[in-house]
Formats: sequence, C-alpha cells, structure tokens
Amino acid sequence: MTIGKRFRASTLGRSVIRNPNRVTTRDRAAGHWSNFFLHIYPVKIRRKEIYFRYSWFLGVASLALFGSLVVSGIYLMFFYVPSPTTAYGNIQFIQTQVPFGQYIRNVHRWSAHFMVLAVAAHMARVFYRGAYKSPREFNWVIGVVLLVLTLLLSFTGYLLPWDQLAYWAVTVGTSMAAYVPIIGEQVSNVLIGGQEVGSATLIRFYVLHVALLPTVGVVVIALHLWRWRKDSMLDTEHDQQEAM
Amino acid sequence: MTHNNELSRRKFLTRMWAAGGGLMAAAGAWTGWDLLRPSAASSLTAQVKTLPPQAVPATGVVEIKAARGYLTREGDQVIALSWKCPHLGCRVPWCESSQEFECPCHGSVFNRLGEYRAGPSPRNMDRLATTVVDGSLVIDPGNVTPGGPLGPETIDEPPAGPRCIGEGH
Repeated sequence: MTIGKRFRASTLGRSVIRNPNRVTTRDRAAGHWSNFFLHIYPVKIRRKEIYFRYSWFLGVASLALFGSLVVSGIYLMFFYVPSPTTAYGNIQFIQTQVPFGQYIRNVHRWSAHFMVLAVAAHMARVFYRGAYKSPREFNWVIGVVLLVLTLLLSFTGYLLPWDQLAYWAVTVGTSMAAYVPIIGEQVSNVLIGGQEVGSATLIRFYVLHVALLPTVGVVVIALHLWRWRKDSMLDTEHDQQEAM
Repeated sequence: MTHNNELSRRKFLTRMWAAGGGLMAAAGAWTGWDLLRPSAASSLTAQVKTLPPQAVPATGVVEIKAARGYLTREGDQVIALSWKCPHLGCRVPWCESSQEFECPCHGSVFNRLGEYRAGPSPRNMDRLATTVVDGSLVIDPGNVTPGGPLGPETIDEPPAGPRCIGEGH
C-alpha cells in the first residue's frame, strides 16, 4: 500500500478527500467534481479540445503567466516602497543586492510582456475560430473585460520603477485620457491625483497595480473559466454548420 | 386571486430593496469619487516672484522652474509660457541651438513666443497669468490660458541652427 493510498484510507484522509477510491471512470469524475481546485475544469471534455491545434493553449498560457506575475510580484513587494524618494533606489537594490532579485524582476517584466501578447493572441484565436459565437457570446464579453484589466495592470506597473521613461510615459498616457469627451479631464485628474505626475500618482498606481486590479482580475478570471466549463460541451453555431 | 397590476407585498419589498441598494451604490460611487479627486491644495497656487520685466532679454527665454514655465519678450510686453506641452503634457525644453521650443516626446516645435511651428500639438503653448508687483513680474502658475489656435507666426525668427530633437519623432 502506498503512502497516498494509506492516507486516503485513514480517517483524516477521508475527511479531506470525499471520493477516495479512484477505480472507475465514475469514481474519477466524482473525485474531480468534488475537488475545489479541479472543479473549474469540466469533468468530461471532447478529445479534440485537448489538442494543441484546438486552442494553441493560449488561455492556459495567459493564466499561467498571471500566476507567475502574482508570485514574482509578491516577492517584489517585499522590497519596494512606492514613494518618489525610495522607488527608484528600491529597484536598484532589487537588481543588485537582493539574491535572485534581478531574476525575479525579469520574470515579472517578461511575464507581463508575454501576458499582453498571450491575451491578444487568445482573443485573435477565439475570433478566427468563431468560438465567440452563440451560445458563448457572454464569455467573449468577459474576455474583453479581462483584456482591459490586463492592459490597465500593464500601464499601472509601468510607472512603478519611477525612472524618466516611466514618468513621461505615464504623463503622456494620462494626458491621453484627458482627451476623452466630458469625463476625460476628471478621469485624468483622479488618476494623477494632482496637477502633474508626482507622489500621489505613484501611490495611486501602486494600489491599483497590487490590490484593486489583481483582485478584480481574479474574480473575473474565475467567472471566465466557470463560463468556459459550463459552455464547453455545448455545440457552437460553427459545429452545427459542420454537422450539416 | 390578486390582480397583476396590484402591488403585492413581495413586489413592494423587492422594489424597496432594489431602490435602497441603488441609493447605497450611488452614494458609495459618489463618496469614492470625491475621496479620490485631487484636493485644491495639491494644485499649483503659490505665486512665483521672478525678475523685473526689463531684465527679460529680447532674445532667448528665461526658465522659471518654480512656475513650470518660461518668461519671454513680446515687444514691450513680457509673457509667461507654461512648459507643459499642449499635445500630451510633456515638459517642453528650450533648444539653444535652434532658438525654438522643441518637445522631445512627439516632436512638437514652437517659436520663441510659443507659437506652433511643427508636430502634433493642437494649439500654441499655454500662457500663465502674470502681474507686476513692486517692479517684479509675478507668475500665477494656477491661472493657465490655453494657447491660441494654429496660425501664422507673428514673429520672424526662423530656426537659428540645428534642432535639438532628431527628425522623424
């Protein structure tokens, strides 16, 4: 008897794992169904959906990159203080003094770049496949929200190194927001928190970047995956046309 | 049997809860927005005392960092220009070699009076209000007049030399 099986057979194991015996297909489906972490995936899936050519795994890639960004971002938060007097020095310190600091920062930076690419490619792939069509229209809408969140996370993270590139890029970006009719000026002022990019802007962008946007992102990602699971066995218009 | 148009107890309570929830959401949104709006104290309100008007030379400009702008001579008058580019807000430096304002972000170029010469800027450079107090020019950086519309330049001062920003920006 392996350790895993003995654990499952014990009182503790049976209290943790609801369906300990994974013998038949039905057992495995039941185990899958009752697992909080696995329940976002469908219990059964059509074989063609797990081939690379079906989706190019772009949604999974986006999710994996998001996970990588959360983990590396939490590491960076231990060493970063969002204030004009400290921010740039903290980044230098992470790069030169913190063990693996440069590695972690590069993971964060490159994951961010690749996530924008992966999300855009995912969107294009879903569009070309016609996978946005009925009955999956609403998941497309949720996906557009996720695209906007990804871009906002990217934009707010851009300011945090507090160097010349970041400063003027955000000056330009928030000035662009001011061109929006009626509300533009107000939105720009609330983003900047003053007349020009300064300490108020840095703390605002930091809070958006590490707290508000990721929290909203996790909720919307969960919704997106749940919809995907619910819709995965449904025929699309595309499938129906092929069947005819 | 109740009639459809009759307001049942359940329907009434549902509507009241919805109205209450809507009110709370509106109050929360308004409070949150008001909380995040920059306070008046964060704007540039302090008056900046500078030089006597006659000390501003007929050529070139005088940078006034505290007022985020420049002083420049227009005939007998001295005007204050905001260094914030009307295009997307970058700081516009004075280029000594060409004797022009040249924005490094997207290549807007202005003459010595802040009049549009090239690039994507939608208008001339903005002006800051000035007064003379005890013989010195005082700039009010909070009082900004948007620059005039694009048009012919009122001074004949072509670029004096090579530009500070590269071509193609």
